[in-house]
Amino acid sequence: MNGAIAMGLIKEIDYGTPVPAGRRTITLSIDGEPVTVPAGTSVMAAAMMLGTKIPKLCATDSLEPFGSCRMCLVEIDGRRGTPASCTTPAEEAMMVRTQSPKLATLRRGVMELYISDHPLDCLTCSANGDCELQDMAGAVGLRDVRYGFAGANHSKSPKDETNPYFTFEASKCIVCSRCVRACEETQGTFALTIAGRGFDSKVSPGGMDFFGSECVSCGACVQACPTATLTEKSVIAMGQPEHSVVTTCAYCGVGCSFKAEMQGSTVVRMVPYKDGRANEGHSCVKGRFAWGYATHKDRITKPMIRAAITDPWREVSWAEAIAHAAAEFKRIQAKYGRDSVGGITSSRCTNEETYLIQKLVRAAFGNNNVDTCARVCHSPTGYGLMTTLGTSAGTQDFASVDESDVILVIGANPTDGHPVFASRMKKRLREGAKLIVADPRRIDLVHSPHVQAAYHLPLLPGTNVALINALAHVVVTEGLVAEDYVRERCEWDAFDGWARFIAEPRHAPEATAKLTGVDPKDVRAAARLYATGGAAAIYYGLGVTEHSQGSTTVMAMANLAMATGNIGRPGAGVNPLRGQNNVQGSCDMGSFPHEYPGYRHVSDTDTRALYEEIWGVALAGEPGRRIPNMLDDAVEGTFKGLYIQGEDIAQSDPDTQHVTAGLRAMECIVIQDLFLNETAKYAHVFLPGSSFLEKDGTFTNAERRIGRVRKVMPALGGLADWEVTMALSNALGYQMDYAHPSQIMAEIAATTPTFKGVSYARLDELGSIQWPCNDAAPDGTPMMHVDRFVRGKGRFMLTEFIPTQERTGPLFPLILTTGRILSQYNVGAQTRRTENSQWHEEDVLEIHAVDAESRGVVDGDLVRLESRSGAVALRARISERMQPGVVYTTFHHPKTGANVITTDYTDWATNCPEYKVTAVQVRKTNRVSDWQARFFDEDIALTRVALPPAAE
Amino acid sequence: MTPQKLASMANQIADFFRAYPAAEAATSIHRHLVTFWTPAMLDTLRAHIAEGAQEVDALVIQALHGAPAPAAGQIAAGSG
Repeated sequence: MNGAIAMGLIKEIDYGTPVPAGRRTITLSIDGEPVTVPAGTSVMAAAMMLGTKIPKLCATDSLEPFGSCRMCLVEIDGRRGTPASCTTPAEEAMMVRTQSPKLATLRRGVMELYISDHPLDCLTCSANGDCELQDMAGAVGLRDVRYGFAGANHSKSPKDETNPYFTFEASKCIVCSRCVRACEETQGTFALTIAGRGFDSKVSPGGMDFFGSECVSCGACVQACPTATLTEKSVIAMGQPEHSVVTTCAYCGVGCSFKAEMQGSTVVRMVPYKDGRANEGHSCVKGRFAWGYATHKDRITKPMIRAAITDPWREVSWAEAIAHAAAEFKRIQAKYGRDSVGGITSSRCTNEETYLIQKLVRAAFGNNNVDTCARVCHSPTGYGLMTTLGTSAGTQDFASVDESDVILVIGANPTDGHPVFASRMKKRLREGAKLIVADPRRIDLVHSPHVQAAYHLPLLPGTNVALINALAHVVVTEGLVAEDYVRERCEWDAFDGWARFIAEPRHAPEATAKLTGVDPKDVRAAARLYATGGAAAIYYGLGVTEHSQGSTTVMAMANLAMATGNIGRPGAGVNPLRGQNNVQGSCDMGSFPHEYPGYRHVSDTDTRALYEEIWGVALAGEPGRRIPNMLDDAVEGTFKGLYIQGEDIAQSDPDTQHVTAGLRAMECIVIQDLFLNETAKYAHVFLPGSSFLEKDGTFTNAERRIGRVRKVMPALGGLADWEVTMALSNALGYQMDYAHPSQIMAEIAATTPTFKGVSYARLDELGSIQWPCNDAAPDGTPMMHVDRFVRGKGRFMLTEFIPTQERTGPLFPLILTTGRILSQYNVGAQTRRTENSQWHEEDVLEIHAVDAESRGVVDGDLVRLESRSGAVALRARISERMQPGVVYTTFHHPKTGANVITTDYTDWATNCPEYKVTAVQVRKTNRVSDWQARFFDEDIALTRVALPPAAE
Repeated sequence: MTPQKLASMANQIADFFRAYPAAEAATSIHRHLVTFWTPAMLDTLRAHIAEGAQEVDALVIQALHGAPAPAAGQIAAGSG
């Protein structure tokens, strides 16, 4: 054997009903064989544990048993009749028979009825090869349908093809309700129902077509459907896949595990992997369906160079592009100094690739000018949690939410930004956990099917600290502090100082209401609920971090959680919902200019000595530049060259005109990306990037879970991203020599204490690993700070509310805040190149009716959105979700230029931009802004590619 | 980076630590600056202060010069 992996289609075992986790077991006998199962297991699942497949149609183990299809009948000693095995719990000493002549007759009879109203086009059916109905007909030995096919039937039922990714072929439907239940139980959207009665019963997306319905296209129904009724259009077009590879999604920080189901090196479909711990078999519209960008015609697969950004790009060989880039960096460093160049790592690239970029910057460039896009999203999380708890990461695993009694969501919109986790959270809320939402907008979670927030605290953007302080004030002044916990676990002096600080009357809800606009009664009630309602978890997003006081809010939340004893136990914690798939990993891998992998400061002599020895080069001991510092210095002429992997700062970073001024001022910008993105307009070298389907590596999700990314197709440009970085480093004169990303991970593990036990072999063995993974925790760490905080004692910090300098006034009377939408992902480079754009073709400005009316704006009007930074035009949408005085937009389309509007204000501790608060004015307009006009010009002028010379 | 921008960034840092006793605040500000700022940024800010910049928070000046903490009243007066 040479380690070759057996290729085949991975089929997870379907136990038919969920298997309970309890420790108490019972023993029963099935067909004469004893089997011991957890108490509460169904007879059907118990049989499957013996490998005995009881025929079934309406049952699948992602859904609660339903008992409608009557296929799974069994005989049980002492029981009358033939109970359904899916709805019958196994009992001690039960004697079950799964096969008998009577059962065979019954099952065949049921199947005969099903098939009497089912098209018999099996050979040409899209589910051919993947149809449970066909399998069951075979299993029960159906040979004849005595009723004929001439009677009333559903064979003429219409096909609904409105969803871009799957069809609903009603004639194939057996009304097993698996799709309806998946929409309810798994996804929690309740978009599907069974309409009609008896023979007229049919699955319906609320009486309309799928696209117009509330369906969020998560794919759970398609996954659950046992027939061809709900089928991926890609399967209809291509047929069944022949092998599959388990990998990790490249969208948000939930980091769902997927099976890439393949025909050769072509993806047929992405199917959520049941054994993936982050998602446990669920998915969202992005990961499940929006992967077509990987082979989109816009992919750039040949390296290109140009002397000036106004020149057309010229396609060259890899060797020429790499040599040119290296020569330029060397020229610039010789002319302007060692510190005049730097690099930006990507949260969309793997840990191994990120590690190599920071290694290149530190070892080959010889400085610490490396930063990452986490700068502009979760850097305050790193600072805030490190300061208070001792480590820069969320405290829990996602499964912890199943044990939460109270959930506080602040500055996050999980149903859009982190949909698979949101489904999990909604499930817990339907079970009775209480919800507090602190958000300027009435996000979907506030009121959705069978979910109603106990309190929505609609605070004014920019007042998070005042609000959290007010919650903490109530906890302290009403005697709700978990004093035993604090005494045992936290620095008492720091707590004491904090408690006296927070008890001051200016932090009372009645006093802070002037700042936050939130009803003090609701704040008091929410605080009491959080402190006394049982295990209380905080989940937060960029609405917390992207403020001038982002780091302060993170610390304020940690204070609140520590004061109530809500860290280090199941169901509790302080949990960042990370924006991109590998934000956690890119931070872990030493992407920040002040620290090496594992969050160790560059001035730490032991750590530096370790890397100097392993890397064989002297390293700089002072922090390098952050992205905003790089851009400022570029404008001033002291920063001249930048290597950017998988980032699009010209669209994603704030104050676009300042960013592009910085980019224009540099002499060499090297872009490594899938597409000619906005930043590439200002670049001199373009190196083709590789998508997550084209390389091996690992991503680390928001719960610190390291999951494998596995190559399923060759890199379109010929090289994986880690190979490109290696080539560039070698051309710069610093030798890197890795044959496979597993060797890079071995180096990471050898040099980073929290990764000591991580290897590709262990990842294959365990499926995924949550760091820290070391001698003390060889299988990883699902929950942190269990008996003690990572820093020893938890540290309370004084969190004074300091208003942002960004103020509304007569010129700019409204506050703009920004966010994401379900179907699109960040700068949209991926999702805009998929059918997801059908749901969101353009960014719009959400505005309250009062603000719209006073400006004479009606729904759909083109409006001019202007701040002191710049102006753009976009369409207005009147929205009841907004509060008066606050407007909202998304930033998925470059032509919208949402970041033309945002300012250069940043978080005090980390320089994370203040995206979430910008003073603006809104007016009706009839034309695009000057910036947009220039954008449309440059979209052509700065992206030209020269035609290759004609062959002789 | 312009000295004015660096001064404004440093003042933001001082605003956070002002909640602490002055000596502790100055120490914390100093630690924050050397942890996260490049030497060039620190040099620029120091030069700006040496040139008599008016807008720099007294706590920042304190932090960069490592001088003993002033009385609370002095900080309040100088921090505008």
